[in-house]
Amino acid sequence: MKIAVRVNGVPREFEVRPGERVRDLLRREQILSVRNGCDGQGSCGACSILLDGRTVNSCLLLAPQIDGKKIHTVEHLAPNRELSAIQTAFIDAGVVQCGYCTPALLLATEALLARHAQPTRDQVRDAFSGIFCRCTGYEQMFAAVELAARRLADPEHAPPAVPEFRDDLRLVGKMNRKVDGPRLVRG
Amino acid sequence: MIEHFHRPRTVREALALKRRLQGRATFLAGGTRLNSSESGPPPEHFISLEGLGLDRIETKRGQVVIGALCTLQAVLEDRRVPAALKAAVAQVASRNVRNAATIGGHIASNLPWSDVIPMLVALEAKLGLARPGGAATIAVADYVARRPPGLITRIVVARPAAGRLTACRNARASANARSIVSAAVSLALSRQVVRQPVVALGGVAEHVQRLTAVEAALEGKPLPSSDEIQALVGRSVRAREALSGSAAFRTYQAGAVVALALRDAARGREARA
Repeated sequence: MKIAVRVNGVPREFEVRPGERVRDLLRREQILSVRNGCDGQGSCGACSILLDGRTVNSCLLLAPQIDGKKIHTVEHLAPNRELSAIQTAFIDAGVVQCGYCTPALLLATEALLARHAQPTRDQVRDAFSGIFCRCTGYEQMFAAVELAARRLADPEHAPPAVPEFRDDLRLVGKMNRKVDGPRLVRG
Repeated sequence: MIEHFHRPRTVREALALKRRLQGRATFLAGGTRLNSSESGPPPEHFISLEGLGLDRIETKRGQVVIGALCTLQAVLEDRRVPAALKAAVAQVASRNVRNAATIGGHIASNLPWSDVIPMLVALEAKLGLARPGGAATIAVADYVARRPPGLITRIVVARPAAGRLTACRNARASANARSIVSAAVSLALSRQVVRQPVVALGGVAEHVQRLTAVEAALEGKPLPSSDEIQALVGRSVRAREALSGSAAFRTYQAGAVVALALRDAARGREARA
């Protein structure tokens, strides 16, 4: 059967099987930022997408259920390879480790900041409640959202300064972005 | 294997499809349960309920009428929904799931560990059920116990009467795990004496149930101590062994959450997770 969906702002048509998961459809279409972390149980949220602006697990949706709707994946945050304020905030706050759930967290942050420009900690906790992050620190997630909120209001907003040490080394003890951070936040 | 995806435009069409396809077809609401790999083999036909216009919340004669296709998050965000029901819905931990799961689909799934059904039972909510022979109204407690055929179209929740106290509590192994047990209570206190208590518990039987023996023991007396409530619940439930815990553990947890919920309600503290 055929479905029509607006994917990251672009109208698309797909030929799908009635029982095909949206996660599988998107990965078939080379949108690989939509991950498989729980084999379709719906417990990890790594396959999150925005469906009409709300975060949902794409593994729990069948392709016919998104017919006529708008979906967004993390690819829409950096369409011209230039990172968005939310993506740079995640790198600067040190929330990007393995990067597996990072696209889901970024989309949840985007949806959260669209609802609340300055969210409370409870609102942050609720926004991330469906996403299971296995490796990143938890406190840093609050810092990342706060930094993203400030940076959306002021694109030049810099992360808090931290003391540097070991002048004899170029990278150790210096404020450097994680080397593969930009690649990971692009999904 | 799902081979057909139907999109009826009216309840009548949906019922006609179901009658024609019988056991080969299943109604599909949000899909968070039916589409999960934890569910059994899918049916051959899905009948999508999305186009039926059952996604509105209204107030009628002091009652809140929630369309069965309202998402749990929509219920949580609507100012007309009683706070007690919102607190129960908030216990569904994943916002991603709340954004997709519908309240009608949640009830129809009839999960034993549901966090929402106990509160609907405690609030004595009713369901509108569409059937080929005509519409019917049935209490949520009866629906989950008897599973009559038909399509849930709406959930009717009366605004709690003045002085009516409600609360809910659950126990779970981690923040995003399903509940081991989940309780919701509703009662009135008259000079510290409990009146007309309703105690609903999920997680110990095949479906959420009212603990009528506990309710009878509470009626007309001051609220017993937590230890006494725990013992009372322990005598009233027969929890089964499960992966989430032994029968003894689940019975203990059941007593604990009921005691905590009753204490919260008696203190006038609105339900909390």
